[in-house]
Amino acid sequence: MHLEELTERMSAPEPTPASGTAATVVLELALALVVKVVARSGNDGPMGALTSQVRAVHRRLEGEGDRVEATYTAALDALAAGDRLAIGQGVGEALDAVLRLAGTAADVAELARAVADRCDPVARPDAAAAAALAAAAAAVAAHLAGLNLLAAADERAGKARALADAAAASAAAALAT
Amino acid sequence: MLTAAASDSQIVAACRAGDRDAWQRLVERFDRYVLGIIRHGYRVPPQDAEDVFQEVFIKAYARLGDLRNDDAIGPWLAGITRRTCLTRLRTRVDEPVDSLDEETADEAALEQVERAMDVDAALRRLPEACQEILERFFRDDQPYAQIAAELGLPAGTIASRISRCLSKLKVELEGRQEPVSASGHTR
Repeated sequence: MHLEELTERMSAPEPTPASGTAATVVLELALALVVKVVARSGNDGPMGALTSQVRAVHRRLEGEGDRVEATYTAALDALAAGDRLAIGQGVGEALDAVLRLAGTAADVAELARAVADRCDPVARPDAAAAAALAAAAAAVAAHLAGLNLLAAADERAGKARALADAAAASAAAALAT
Repeated sequence: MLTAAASDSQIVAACRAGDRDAWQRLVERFDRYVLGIIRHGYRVPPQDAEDVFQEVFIKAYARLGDLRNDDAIGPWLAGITRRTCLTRLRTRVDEPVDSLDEETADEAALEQVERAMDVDAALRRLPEACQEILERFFRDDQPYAQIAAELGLPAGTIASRISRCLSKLKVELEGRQEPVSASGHTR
């Protein structure tokens, strides 16, 4: 989908796409910046060993936006229908989707930090920017996870916060390089 | 008692001695390999894949005495799997039986399966800490933060540790022998 089309859909009154999709798009842009910095810095040595991790995270990110949007829509449908069983399942799946997004976002932030440490100094601002964007995506995902929780004591709330904190720490370190 | 790092030939020897745990270990070591050949190499329909998988290991159990070189258990299993796949496919299709032969196999997919098996074998030769961290990140898709928390490691060190372990894995892979492939050819 082109950016123009996405922003048009995002601005519409329908419930989706919304913040989950926006966070995913931001994360994709962050990862693209990481790939760019690696490419500009050469694929050998310590940077080469990070390339495999970039690829793995890229594979993980594929389809996450669709998953977040689909599970959120299903949860909304269940809530509208008042089906308690479906609500429990739908909300649980939506929560798992944003938790997974938070984990991927935290990894992109940390990868960006690691790349910023080793890259060509000319490309370092892009790596730092990637870390900051990924941390923003992680914060959004953790916020959405908190909203989705049926029980405040759910351990997944702690996991989501921890992932957002880890991403924020990676971004702070990358921006300080 | 076999260790996690037991060689293929050690496992086969233990199987010959009647060690049921060893047989379980052998199945676990090669199950993804055999399934890879069935599903990706020969595209056996999902409803038949499980039957073919069971048949392969039943045949292997019955014929283990025919295996001459215990180190060649992988290629030997690949051969049984190829023949079992072809037999199953011949019973399903409407087209002439003669049109189904070794050409039926997707050689590129078989090469990928073989490559994955090489990586798996090289992984088993790494220190346990490396095996664990690589499997958690690449196989289980665990985030760095989760790996750090569960292994009690500093949060900012996981990417570097993975990089070091990948370097060791590369050395292991480059140092390996040229085995007989799942497609039956020496590479």
